[in-house]
Amino acid sequence: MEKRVVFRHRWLPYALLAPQLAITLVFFIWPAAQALWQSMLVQDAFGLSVRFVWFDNFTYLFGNREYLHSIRVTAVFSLGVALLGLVVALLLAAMADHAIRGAVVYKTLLIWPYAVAPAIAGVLWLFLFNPSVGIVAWWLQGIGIDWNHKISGNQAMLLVIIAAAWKQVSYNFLFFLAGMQAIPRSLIEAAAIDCAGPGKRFFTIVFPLLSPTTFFLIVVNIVYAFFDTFGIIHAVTRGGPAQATNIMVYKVFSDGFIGLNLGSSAAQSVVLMAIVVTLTVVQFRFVERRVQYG
Amino acid sequence: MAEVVVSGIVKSFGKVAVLKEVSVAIADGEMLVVLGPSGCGKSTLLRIIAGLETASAGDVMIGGRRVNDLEPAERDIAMVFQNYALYPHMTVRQNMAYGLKNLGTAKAVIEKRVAEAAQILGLAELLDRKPRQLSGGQRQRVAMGRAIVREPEAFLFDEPLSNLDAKLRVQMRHEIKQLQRRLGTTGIFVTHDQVEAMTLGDRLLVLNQGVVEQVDTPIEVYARPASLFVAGFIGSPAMNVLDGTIDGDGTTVTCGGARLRLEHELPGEAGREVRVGIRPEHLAPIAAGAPSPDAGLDVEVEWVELLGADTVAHGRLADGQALALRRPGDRPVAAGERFHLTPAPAHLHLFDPATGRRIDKGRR
Ligand SMILES: Nc1ncnc2c1ncn2[C@@H]1O[C@H](COP(=O)(O)OP(=O)(O)OP(=O)(O)O)[C@@H](O)[C@H]1O
Ligand SMILES: [Mg+2]
Repeated sequence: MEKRVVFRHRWLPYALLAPQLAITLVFFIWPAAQALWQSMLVQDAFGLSVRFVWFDNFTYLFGNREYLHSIRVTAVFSLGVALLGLVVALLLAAMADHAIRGAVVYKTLLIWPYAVAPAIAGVLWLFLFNPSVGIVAWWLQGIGIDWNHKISGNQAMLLVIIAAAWKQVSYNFLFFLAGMQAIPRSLIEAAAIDCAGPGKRFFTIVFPLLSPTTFFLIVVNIVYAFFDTFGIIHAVTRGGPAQATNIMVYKVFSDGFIGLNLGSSAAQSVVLMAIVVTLTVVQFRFVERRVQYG
Repeated sequence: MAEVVVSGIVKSFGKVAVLKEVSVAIADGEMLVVLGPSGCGKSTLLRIIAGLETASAGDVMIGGRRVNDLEPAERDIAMVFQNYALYPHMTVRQNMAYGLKNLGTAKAVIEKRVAEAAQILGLAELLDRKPRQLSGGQRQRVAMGRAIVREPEAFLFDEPLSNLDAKLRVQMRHEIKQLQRRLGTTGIFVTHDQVEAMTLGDRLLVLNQGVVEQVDTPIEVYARPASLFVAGFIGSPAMNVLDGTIDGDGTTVTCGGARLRLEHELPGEAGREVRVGIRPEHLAPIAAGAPSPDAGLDVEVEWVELLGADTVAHGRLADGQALALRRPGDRPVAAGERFHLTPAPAHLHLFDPATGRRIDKGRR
């Protein structure tokens, strides 16, 4: 059956697309073009003169120790968020998949964090881990861990990873659970007859069958960690201490709006743009070739 | 290879009792076919034996070992599912080897057994394919292969042939039977197809709404159905069932306006209401001028099914009760034709109208 809609009028499809195209143009293409243009300019500190410098901003960026550090921080942060978010979600999904009764309740409860704004999530965790009044910090004190993310870079990193992953767990959970429930029951039963250990069963049958979901989620989580975690960083660490959590997207902001180095900031956002385009392409190519089971 | 004994199995899902005290002993090397209509609890029984479902009461013994509390993998059984349940991410070889690998079997042994099974089932060429690259029949064979490499105590089959086309089904039926005989492994085969049941089983267990109606050899189930349910379920077209009354001396039964001779006398049962079962293939026309034409059933044919080898004629008796009879395909039968029929006494089945159970000589 023909699934496409066939339009009789020549202008109708364009008219129907126009609102979406307008939005894309005004809110995405135009700013992107501006960023691209600005990334090739250098402005003096007072904003009085502007010079066109071709790719000097980029050359400078990739020779800059601080920027390279920020790339490393971003890598650690996004891998940490993706890994923690996926592992916890997978664990919860496996448990929810087992519990037939009450599964709806779990699902509802587990989806809530996704609705929380990043900044609020950040504040929430900040409060829990507050060195002087936070309950988690207090527990940690009890087991001999001196928690102060305002001083320790590693602890700060850990805190933002936890806060960012927490928000993403619910999203991952839903996908994993749906993936698990899409596995035919008889497959799981065949495995139960073929293999005694539930852990082994999980890793040899369930997890491999979830691989399309897992791959999809890895990309989504990395994109999230790269771009949607600004609020968390801003609320919790502001990139500190000593740049320890200054991920690329935060550095765009801090260099541009605090450091007022607009050229460099624009160049950085162009780099981020290139990254998100790459990830999207990877994702789409993969989705198209999505493994067909059965 | 082992005896499988199921005793007093009860299973309820919530308030609904699906199995009610099911007991049966399956001898070592025997093939038991569990037959019954959809939803009667066949799969549930099989799954309880496999350990995929827990019984509400009762015991399952495999090879003299009580397995109630054992995991499915510890019961030493293999199951073939209706949709085959092959692991889609593994090759045919890996599918077959998976169970053995998890048991910690030596690599060389696994390879040998997989090669053997592949050879028996004609899968040697396909070992490196994934399930999605196989046809339905080939998948079915892989599922069989996965079961036999385990060399289990018992095979459990849950309608494994129902997704195949008619021709392939006949062939696989034959292959399964041969294989099970050759390996001498105890088998339990669930189906709702009576031809499959008759041809595959050493014995049949007929299940109706979670109650065992009869356990016997296929021929015996056909020849002496233990209840009205079995009588109606086995045989196609279904057995005719007429209302009747035992006559005064207990040697004949009156039904459909005829007096039919009984195989065994039922003295002292005069006047008892019964249900009289007669298979369509057991109704022979009485030639005109035969000694007692008044003893037969008079039927007028209403419509006819031409099946080629046979013709099934559906008609009505004088008192309005429906009756089907089967005639050889080369004798044309037309609507409106009248037959004067009588069954041999040995082919008359009597059932109690209240309980539906068979009435036999000396047994009520
Ligand atoms: N998990 C379950 N929860 C509730 N009821 C169930 C469950 N599994 C089976 N049943 C019910 O138990 C009854 C028997 O089911 P079962 O699957 O054993 O039937 P079956 O004889 O195998 O039928 P079919 O020939 O259609 O496969 C059905 O009425 C079914 O609705
Ligand atoms: Mg079933």
